[in-house]
Amino acid sequence: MSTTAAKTSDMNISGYRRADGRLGLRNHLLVLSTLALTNRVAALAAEAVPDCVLVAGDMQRGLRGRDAKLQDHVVRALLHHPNTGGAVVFVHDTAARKRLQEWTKTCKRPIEVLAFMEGRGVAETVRRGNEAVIRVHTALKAQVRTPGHLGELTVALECGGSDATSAVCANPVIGSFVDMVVAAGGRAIVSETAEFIGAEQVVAQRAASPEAASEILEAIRRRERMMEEDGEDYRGVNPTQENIEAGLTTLIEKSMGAVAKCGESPLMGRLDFAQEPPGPGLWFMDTPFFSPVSITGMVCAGAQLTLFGIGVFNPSAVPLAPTLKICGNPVTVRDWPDAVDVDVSMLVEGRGSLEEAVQTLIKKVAEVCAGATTWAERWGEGQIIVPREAESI
Amino acid sequence: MIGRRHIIVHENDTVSTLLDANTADTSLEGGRACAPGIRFGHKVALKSMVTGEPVLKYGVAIGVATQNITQGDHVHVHNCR
Repeated sequence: MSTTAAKTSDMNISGYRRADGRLGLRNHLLVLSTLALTNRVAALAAEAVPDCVLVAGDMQRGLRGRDAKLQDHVVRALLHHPNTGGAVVFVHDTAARKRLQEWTKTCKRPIEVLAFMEGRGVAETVRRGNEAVIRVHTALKAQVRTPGHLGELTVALECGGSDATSAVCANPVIGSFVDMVVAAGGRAIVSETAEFIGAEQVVAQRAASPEAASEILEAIRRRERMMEEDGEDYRGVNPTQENIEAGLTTLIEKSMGAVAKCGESPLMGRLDFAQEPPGPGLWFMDTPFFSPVSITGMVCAGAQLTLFGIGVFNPSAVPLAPTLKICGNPVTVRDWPDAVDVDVSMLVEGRGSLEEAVQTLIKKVAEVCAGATTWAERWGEGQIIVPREAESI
Repeated sequence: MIGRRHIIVHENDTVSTLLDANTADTSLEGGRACAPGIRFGHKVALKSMVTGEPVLKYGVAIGVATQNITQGDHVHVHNCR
């Protein structure tokens, strides 16, 4: 926040320049299964090289309306993502292969599409997959990192496993960094709509325009109505007795613990799930609160990096964009040494100031932007989960 | 005596959050007064406030004082809503 005098001017950002000008922090070889039926052959195909990013989720046939459109959009967003250097994609049949191949031309990067139904046995299908993976892998080796700048980043903001420390340590540290990214001309996306219940006044004050305020407030009201339909009186029971014991006095104070990770930049407007921000600044994406789902939405909107504030440990991450776990709880830092990337527990232990904690984050982000791996990347942690509204046919 | 560890999240805040369990101490790091008995994660008043005055944390009003508050007081549901 504004108390910090931290500088980002000396931050070296480098990455892979895509044909459309965007900067990828990674040059991933994505092996993507577009249907749960092809998950196993995709996984076996990915074994041809050691460092593929495999996305083999719960993609279905028979989806309807918005669900069908969103699943299709997510497939394309993953292939078009700046961190995707190239890809091998498994689809079901010839028609789907032709349709996707036509579109992948616009991505201007090595992408091979294989149709499962064109195979002649499992071994042969896997072998074709292995060969495609090796071809794309070879093509990617030729690409080199080029310089970029902070304003080219789109940062996904997340918090989970929240406790008393995340509200006053990890999240404000993230917020300070977000203000710097936005000041440099970059983008940040915050999501998990329900976490904003109680912070409506702050949203209204920080919205860049009356339209932005009304569309975000409408999304918050919609999620609250969902809870009411399920018989839950969120506003009535919060802060809970447990929250009050922990020191939280009002609902807005509780909500601000999560909102603190946004910093103080104006909210430009509301995005639909996985919708790319139409311009620079801080954006609000209307998503469910479950972190693997909300991060999927923000990464599919083009975020190259996820800043994830935690109190107790939460393993969630997305495979395509490096996820930094930032933690101010000394117990969590001690117990999860192979999972916490940025230790800001100096605040709790009296070993440093907020400014120093922000500097620690800046240094780590710079390293990760230059190619250093996060713990979630090392563990291969990550899910892509697409939310659904309706029953399928 | 160096006083209790605490964090002022935003420069405009009128409360600070305590980050240690030394509830017997009566001062904050930096020298200001602190009432005894305030637990980890709870808030202390950085300035005196009158009834109706907004209580600021994260740079925003998280509530209003429901009674006069003296610098160093515990700020919670008994005097803030």
